[in-house]
Amino acid sequence: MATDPYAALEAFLRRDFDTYRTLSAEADNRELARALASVFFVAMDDKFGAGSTSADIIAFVASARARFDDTGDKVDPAVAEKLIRAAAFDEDLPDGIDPQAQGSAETVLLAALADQDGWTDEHAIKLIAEARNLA
Amino acid sequence: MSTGEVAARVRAAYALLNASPALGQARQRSAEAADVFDHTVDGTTNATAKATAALLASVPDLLDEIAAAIGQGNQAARDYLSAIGADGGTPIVGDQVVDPGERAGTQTLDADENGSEGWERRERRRRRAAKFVDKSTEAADELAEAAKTRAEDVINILSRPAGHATSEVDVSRPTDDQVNVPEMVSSLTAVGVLTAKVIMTAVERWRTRGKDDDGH
Repeated sequence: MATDPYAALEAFLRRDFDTYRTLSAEADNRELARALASVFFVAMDDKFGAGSTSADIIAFVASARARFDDTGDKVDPAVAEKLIRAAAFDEDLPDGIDPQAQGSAETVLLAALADQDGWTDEHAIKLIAEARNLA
Repeated sequence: MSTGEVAARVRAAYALLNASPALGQARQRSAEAADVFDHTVDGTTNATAKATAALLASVPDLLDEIAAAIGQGNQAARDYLSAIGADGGTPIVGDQVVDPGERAGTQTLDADENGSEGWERRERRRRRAAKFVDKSTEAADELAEAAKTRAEDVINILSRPAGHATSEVDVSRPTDDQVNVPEMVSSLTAVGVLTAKVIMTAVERWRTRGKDDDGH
């Protein structure tokens, strides 16, 4: 039976990192990528979808990079902002976004949002369930 | 670019600079900040400098100067000051606030999902999610590998002992006792980046305002 990529991401957001490592290593890359994108969509739409501004997104990306990008080159701020805007403002995602930059940004931004907003395990589980339902 | 976005980018630059205690990081961050500054006000360096000075010094009385700098009236300048928190109010205003009524596809996890309206909302959100996922995962292998690598970086940061935890960076308006402008300028000058010159010039201009020939 294939490893559930959503279970891997749920473990990551609950900070059960040993479980995350095991499950993500076993997960199919395509399924993991789709699950990550789905979870990212739900998280960013919930956070910024209603009543937020571009400035809110700029500030969040800067804060996330300041906290989680200790070399300054792991998260491309332009890519990060475009991803959030696409998810929350329903803007078209431009062609040609580097998939590595996207994977990095989505991972760091998710972790940063969970950390910033103090997500409980329950919230992480509900968010994952929502993403799974939308997928 | 809206005033809210301008302010957010200046604040972002401040946050990134503030998060860089190490020289090597400061160099990297400062270069990024310089790039941000370059794009802050459509290349109008002077406006950027003034905005940065206002941010760093948290001075609420730069209305006329900022109004002139951003080429708009005082109300816009007031909005600008409000956006950067320099008026003591709640930071961040923007002119791209999304009307919740226009974002019917958005829902919170706790939203009431009963009835046809809830079903329609869910369907709209499902379509938006599908569009995002399909468009963004065309190169899934690379994306997943990058995600795994970056997750390890995040785990390392979150797993650091409390004494070495990543600092919480407040991107809201810095208060006077949080910002040591001369020290920051000196530090930035040491790494020789354009940002330092911009800030230094701006701070100096601000401090000598009233002595300028414009009469302010």
